[in-house]
Amino acid sequence: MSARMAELDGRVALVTGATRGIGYAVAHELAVHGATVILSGRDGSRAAERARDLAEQTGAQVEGAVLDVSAFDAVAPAVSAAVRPHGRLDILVANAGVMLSSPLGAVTGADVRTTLDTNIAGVIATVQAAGRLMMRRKSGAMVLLGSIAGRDGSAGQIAYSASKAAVAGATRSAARELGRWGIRVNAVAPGVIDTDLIAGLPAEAKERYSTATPMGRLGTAADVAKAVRFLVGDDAGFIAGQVLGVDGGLVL
Amino acid sequence: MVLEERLRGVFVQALELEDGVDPGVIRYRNHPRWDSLGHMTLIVAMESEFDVEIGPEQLIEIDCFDAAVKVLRDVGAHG
Repeated sequence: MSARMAELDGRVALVTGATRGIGYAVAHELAVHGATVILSGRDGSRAAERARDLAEQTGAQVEGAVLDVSAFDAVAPAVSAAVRPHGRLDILVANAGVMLSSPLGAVTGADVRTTLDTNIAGVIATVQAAGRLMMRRKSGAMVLLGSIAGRDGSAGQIAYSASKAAVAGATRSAARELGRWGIRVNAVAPGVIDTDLIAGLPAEAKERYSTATPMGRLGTAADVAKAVRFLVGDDAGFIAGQVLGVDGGLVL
Repeated sequence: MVLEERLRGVFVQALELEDGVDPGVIRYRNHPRWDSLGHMTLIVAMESEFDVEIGPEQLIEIDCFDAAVKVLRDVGAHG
């Protein structure tokens, strides 16, 4: 393994919503680059299973943890319990989120509350909990998962778009508050990424997104994971409060 | 050293209190250095000094020195 491959050696990373899609790709990317990874999800047995898979694939230390970020008051104890055996937390990737699609005329209060509880209240709870742990060492890096929909909006996804716009604001506020402790907070804003979240889209819709993307293809979870790895690594040591688009130049 | 003495040192250091400022008389948000950011600095310093974890609800209770002493005793800190 090259020196570059071990750039995160010795660091402990918590990735939320990591049992599939972008979260799993991020966990994989961080593990491959030397981090000890706490792979968390709402389903503890699924998280443990995926953690075993990832450990076998990468040879890294990977542990599963149950974490439902939509239960605000339960997040801090869960994060603390997951991190305690390692005695430190260096990296947080707040990826857990939901994407409920409803046009404005049909969106329900339950849709909005579910989306905001997970996508923004859950992110804030996770950042708060991780921040407390990182403050003790006066260092750390966080990346929050935003979306191109948070910047440009997305027809049929008003609650989701609003929640991701809120993530951008939370990123900047957290960066301002936590910088004094040497903790960097940034976000990535993926474009259309080919994960199971869009598996149900008609082929024509996927083709339309590909065509609208200057890079001429949909993004992959690995594309996003590489951007996250850059932001949590030392090469991004003076980058904070930024929202990095990972969208192939897509203009909605 | 008793808990209170150690805690006074934590207050002075974490909140960067000037000479002559008694930690026992200042209150959260009534002293220029004990704002919301100073509060988090204080909490983290308390946790490090006494090797304890202070929960979110207890964090809110700490609005003066005596309240901090009570919370520390509640979470099992020793002098």
